[in-house]
Amino acid sequence: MNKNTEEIEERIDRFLQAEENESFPAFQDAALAKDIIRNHQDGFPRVAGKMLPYVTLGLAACLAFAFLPDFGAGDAAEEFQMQDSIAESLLDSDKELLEDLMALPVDVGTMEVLPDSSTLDLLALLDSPLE
Amino acid sequence: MKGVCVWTGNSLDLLAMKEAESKDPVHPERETRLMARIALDDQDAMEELIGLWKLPIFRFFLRSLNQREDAEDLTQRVFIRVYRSSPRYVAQAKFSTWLFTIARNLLIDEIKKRKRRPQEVFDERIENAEGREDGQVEEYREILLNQLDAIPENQRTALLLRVQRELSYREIAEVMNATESNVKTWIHRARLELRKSLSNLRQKS
Repeated sequence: MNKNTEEIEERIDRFLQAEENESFPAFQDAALAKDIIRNHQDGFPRVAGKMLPYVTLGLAACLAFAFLPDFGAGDAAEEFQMQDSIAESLLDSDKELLEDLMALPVDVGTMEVLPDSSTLDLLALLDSPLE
Repeated sequence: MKGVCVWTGNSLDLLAMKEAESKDPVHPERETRLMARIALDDQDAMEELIGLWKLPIFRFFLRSLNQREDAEDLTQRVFIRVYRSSPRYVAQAKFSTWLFTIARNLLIDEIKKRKRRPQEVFDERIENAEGREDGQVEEYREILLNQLDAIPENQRTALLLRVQRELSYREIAEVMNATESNVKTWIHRARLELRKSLSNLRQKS
């Protein structure tokens, strides 16, 4: 690079750097800072804006907790209603049979086959005193 | 953990940040701390940040637009954007890269506006030229201004960021959303054009 080119490069760099005396903005730092902070807020509270996702998440969690027990209660009520309707549809004989089964002293879990109604009749006959 | 600023938004944190800053005034992440304070509407932090960056931003706009008033206006708008972005600011890159990305976006908007009113800009340029004195220096300056104005925006911005801010090619590429090789080419072409214009003037004289 000869002297001429060097001089041109220097001149270009000096020009681009714009460091001459008039290259200073007229505004004052403090005045601009004050103006920006006072007049250029978006209108929405800034810290609140930053916290918004967390607040939303928290609210969603609260709502979920508030509604979950209701869902549970609803299920239980339906189950009771269904049980009542089944009980009503049973014949009296079936109800008696069930009551007898519940009253049996034998552990049901150990029995291989449950006794049918004729076996129960026979058992009842054996229990009754001979005439 | 470089470049990550954690704050919880209460006044105790603000005091702690101010204290840490006063103990360590040349901390490389000074701007990150300032940004956290600006997010809490701290006027002193805003003023400090303006003091640190107004000249580089202003000079960038001054050379890009050759219009003092517009350069001042755009510089102020950069800081307004900085303030509005402060609650979401995360220091992922160098602060200057982020700042000049904002500046460049505003510059592109301004150039688009100017294209819609070219006559007005031309008149202002003449006023600027008339206000100055000095023979040959002024002639050089005027030629460089005209040449800089004539080259495409991407070449001019790349060259200014390189010469004024001494940003690396990678940083300039980040600001301009381009590849490093593009940036190198733009800077080379821009320099060549400016050199050519001055060489022509020398040959004539």
